[in-house]
Amino acid sequence: MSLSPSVAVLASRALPVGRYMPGRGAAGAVLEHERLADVVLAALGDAGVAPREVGALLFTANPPPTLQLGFAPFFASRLGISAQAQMLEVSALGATGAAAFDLAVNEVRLGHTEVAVALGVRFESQAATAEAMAAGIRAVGDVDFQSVYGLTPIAWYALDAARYCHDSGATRRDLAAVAVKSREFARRNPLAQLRDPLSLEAVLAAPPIVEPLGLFDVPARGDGAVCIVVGSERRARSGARIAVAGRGYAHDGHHQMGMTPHSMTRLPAARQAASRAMATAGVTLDALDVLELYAPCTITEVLVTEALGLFAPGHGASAALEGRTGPGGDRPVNTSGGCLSRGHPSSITGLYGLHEVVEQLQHHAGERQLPGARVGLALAEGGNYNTALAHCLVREEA
Amino acid sequence: MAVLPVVDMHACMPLLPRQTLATRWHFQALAHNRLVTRYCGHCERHQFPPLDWCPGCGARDSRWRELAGTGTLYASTRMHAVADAFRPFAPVTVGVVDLVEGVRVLAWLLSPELVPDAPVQLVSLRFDDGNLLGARLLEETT
Ligand SMILES: [Zn+2]
Repeated sequence: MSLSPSVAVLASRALPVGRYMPGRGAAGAVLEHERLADVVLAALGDAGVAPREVGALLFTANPPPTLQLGFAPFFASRLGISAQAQMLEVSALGATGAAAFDLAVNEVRLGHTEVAVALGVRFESQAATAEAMAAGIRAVGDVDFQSVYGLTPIAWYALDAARYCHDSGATRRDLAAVAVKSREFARRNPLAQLRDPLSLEAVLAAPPIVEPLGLFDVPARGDGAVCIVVGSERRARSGARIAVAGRGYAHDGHHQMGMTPHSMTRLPAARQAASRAMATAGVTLDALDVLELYAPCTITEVLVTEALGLFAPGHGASAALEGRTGPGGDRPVNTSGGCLSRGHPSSITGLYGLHEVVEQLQHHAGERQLPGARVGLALAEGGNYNTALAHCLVREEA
Repeated sequence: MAVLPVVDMHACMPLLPRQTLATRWHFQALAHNRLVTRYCGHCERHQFPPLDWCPGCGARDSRWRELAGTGTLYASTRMHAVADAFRPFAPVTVGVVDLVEGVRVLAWLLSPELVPDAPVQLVSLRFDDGNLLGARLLEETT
């Protein structure tokens, strides 16, 4: 029961994740919309689409430091786009980028337009860390009953890590292997923020941030911009086509830890969303060549690989240590370098994940190319994986 | 009738929770070192945070009940990186505690070395302007 009518990714472009946000009063600065315009114009050029042909623009909502509000119509006018079908700024915590892509695909599928664009920019690296954390604790908890205890977004993953290590016998060393193999992939990705070699010893020696997680178990701050152009079958250019073959969404009913005792490490929403995406695409887990999984912390990648069924419960961390999920492994995961090394501008991380899947399926992934990659899954989430949104992309030869 | 052991914090709350008509008895009881929440008069499910309705069956028959304040630690993390308001208390160790009544709450751990599944006793962390839940090893209380 594959999705129809068929929608294809026509082009995808991304800025290397880095620090672009100018400091206060900086002269000669390049602002958000200028960085984003570079990426969008390049993507439209790749797709052979003129700005006036874009019928829908689905933006990821900008972070609080962005001065320019009403960003969507502002930006569209700067590019000479008059969207006839839809224009929105989308917000869904960590699933934001995936949600923008989802809605862009829908605009084409519903016949509202032949070409839609999912796009986003995030500038926050110069914002005060304290302000970001104060907003973060309100985003990941009941403001009156949980935020008052001070749990930050990564602290929730640390709780998962504590429980996971207790249940499985995994150690910090096992988790650290995820950071190391992420860096190995990132060294092969020109878009990655962190590309210096990283040893297991360095990960283990790093200062604790939210125990048991240390500095390299959690993401750095970074800025970025991504633009993905999707269109109807008619608009796909000659050659191999990247079809949006499946999608799945799930919400497990909980908000963060929920009200009652239950496992916080099984991530049922991740499993269900991915299963639904694979079912609509008509593919099985074994058929997935490329996996880009939203995983801000080492533990998160471990848990989501287990939730998907790639590894048995309790074995996800040792799989990383054995090299199975790294370069040359039998189950490579997050070939971009993931949130930990590619970088994690959170609202557009979902778009970066999709971008990596597209590059792999286009066979444009350079040194980290998975040979013959044909089927890819991108997964994003919000709130300790209480919600999850998955897309399955398939390369179709001409 | 379980009065929670009290630990004086000699400081103001890092953040102040808002109290509503539906939740204020919880906060007022906590100010007296008692833990109360609501349960559904129709299906008996407990709620935390307390609500004016039941997310389990939809009934609007929420009643108050006092909890014993004992349970087991599900997981904990010692946070070295905290938001500004929490800096005077850093590192802060936060635990997820599953109470005997089947309710899951957060608490600041007074015994940071506790591992998951440890039996814990909730305590009332008394700030100058309100209370938070704390937790420590159950044996310590006798
Ligand atoms: Zn009920």
